Amino acid sequence: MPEIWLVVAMCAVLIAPFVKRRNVTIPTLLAVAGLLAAMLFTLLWQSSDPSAENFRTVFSNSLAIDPFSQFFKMMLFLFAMLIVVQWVLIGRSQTDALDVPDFLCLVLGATFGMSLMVSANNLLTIFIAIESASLPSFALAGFRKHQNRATEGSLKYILLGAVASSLMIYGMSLVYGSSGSLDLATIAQHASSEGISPLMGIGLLGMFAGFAFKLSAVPLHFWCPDVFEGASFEVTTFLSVASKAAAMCLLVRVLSNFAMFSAVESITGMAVGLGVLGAITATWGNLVALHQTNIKRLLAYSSISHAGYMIMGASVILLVNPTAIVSALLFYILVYMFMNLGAFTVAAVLAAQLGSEDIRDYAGLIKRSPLLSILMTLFMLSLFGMPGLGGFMGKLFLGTAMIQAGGIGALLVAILLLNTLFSLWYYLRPSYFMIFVKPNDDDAPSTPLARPSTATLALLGWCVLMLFWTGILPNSAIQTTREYAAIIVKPAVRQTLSQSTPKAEPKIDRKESH
Amino acid sequence: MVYTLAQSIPAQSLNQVAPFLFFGFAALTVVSAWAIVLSQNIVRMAIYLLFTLCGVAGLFFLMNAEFLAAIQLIVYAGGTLILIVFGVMLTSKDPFQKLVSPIWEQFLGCGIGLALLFLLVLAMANSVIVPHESLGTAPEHGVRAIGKALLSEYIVPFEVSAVLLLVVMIGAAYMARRRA
Repeated sequence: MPEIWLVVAMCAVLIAPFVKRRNVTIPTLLAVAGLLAAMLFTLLWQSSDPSAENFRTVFSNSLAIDPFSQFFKMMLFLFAMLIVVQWVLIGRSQTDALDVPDFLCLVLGATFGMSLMVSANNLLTIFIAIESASLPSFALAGFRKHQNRATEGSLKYILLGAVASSLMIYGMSLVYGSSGSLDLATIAQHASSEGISPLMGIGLLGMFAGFAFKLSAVPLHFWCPDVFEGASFEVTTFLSVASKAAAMCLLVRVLSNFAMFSAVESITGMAVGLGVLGAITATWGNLVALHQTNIKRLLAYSSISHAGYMIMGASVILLVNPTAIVSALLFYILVYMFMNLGAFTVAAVLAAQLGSEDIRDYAGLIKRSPLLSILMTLFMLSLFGMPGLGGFMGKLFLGTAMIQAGGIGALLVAILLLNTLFSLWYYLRPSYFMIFVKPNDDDAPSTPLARPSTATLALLGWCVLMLFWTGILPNSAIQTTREYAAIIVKPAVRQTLSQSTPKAEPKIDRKESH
Repeated sequence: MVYTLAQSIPAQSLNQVAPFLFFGFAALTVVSAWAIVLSQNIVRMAIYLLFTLCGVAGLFFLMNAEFLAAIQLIVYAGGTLILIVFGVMLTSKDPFQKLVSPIWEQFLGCGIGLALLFLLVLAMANSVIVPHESLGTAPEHGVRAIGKALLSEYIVPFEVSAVLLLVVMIGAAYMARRRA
């Protein structure tokens, strides 16, 4: 349980001000140490014996410990650490020393919830995990509480989140009522043996609505741009990657359970529904992004469309052998993490120096800071999917995995392609302003921008390296994700169903030979 | 107290009045829920909410879920409701402020509500609802069983909610804190 280290770190961070008031370094180091410990713990688990022995569910099936969740947890802890680094480099000067422990504690708390989301294996754990990822996020979104935009974004987030949570818990209660179990695999078993009754269908719909909120899928995406615009850059980066990726992994686990037990015919409807949701999300996100001028809102809509691509990919899990698609999704999340971190960091550096988040103020920036302009263009091209960069490979693997699903898959791939073409327009707009537009008023400053600190450049350089590594030599990365793309599906031992259940499989190993 | 009351009533007599009690509690819940929606004064809404919550607690009670009924009364009727009234007192300038929503919002709300109701009724009519045998005949249910389940089978959600409450408390304290 690597999460324990996060809780320990949270408590330590809270106690730190009692030892030395107004000290910023100690809580920061403690938070990083906690994340490192959690990461080491995850690593140690899988280096000890990465064989099938380690596929297990713990605490009477509440949590699943499998390669899939361990891989994502490692990425998550690394990302949370990078967020703390980004905050130290850029945002710390704007945070009051007294507020530092609160900020770190909320980040750790949200990470805790997200890492549980990946492992959650029954409805109760799923709900509690989603809540413990959401509630700190609400507070983080409104962390700059003296700014109206932050408060507005946070309030919208809370209200929509409350609606989504109540829909989800109502849906879960219907699912529980009609299947008689909280355990995901047992529910899937029930659904395959008894069929999905209309009541259970509505329940599942409500449950997926809750997931869609966390993923910012289209009918429930309204919080995303406002929250991103109001929150500080490190919170925005954190929410845009970690929270969506965790929800994605949760969706993948739920779908894998259904895919395991049900015949393809009975769940095609669910797959088509999810595919349509993903397609609408991707298209809507891209269309609205076309006329955004604030860089944060632009990246917010970009993250909505990326969530759409991933949902489209996840829908195929129900139809084909999931190993390829799950490994493609893990790879996509890995690449997406570095693309977004890079793009937001450059935007943060620019915002700190220009005092503006408007891309029209980027005019003529190529002369003032060629390095930052080139970096921004690079990250944007990767988000678009330029060959040679990680984003392209992510989309390629996703597409090749999707196309195995036959007609539906081919349609989804076509939508993915069209959307990618659309997105080129807005991904290149900041670069267009930087390179081709001259600042129109003559008194605009033309002095070169100050060079970002070496540490910031190192962070950005690492992001760029990761993008080139995953873009040009993706083999080792995709190989790794393929090894970790195994999800454990195991029904609860204690059967609460009154009906006789079909054969009780003690352990089903999803690891396919490769 | 509720629990001992439940123990003292013989099961036979409860079975006979149960349908009447069910309709009574259901009517209380539905009528006061309507009153909440139709009322325009927030304090009155809070009082009607009290009746709704009590009605729901009664329904739980009839379903042999005494613990849930007691929790419903303590947490919602006793705690959350008081919080609402306090919230109104502390934030509103005028406690008799009228909350009137535009007519199109009323129609929209009615439409969505009716659509959901239609969907749910349709779904329930088309689903076979099998009562779980384990519920009625379990040798022990109630507080003791809940306690055991929370500390054995559902230990993870239980412990995680403890951490969740800690984080939420920190977030709330931060939001409420004045700048030093």
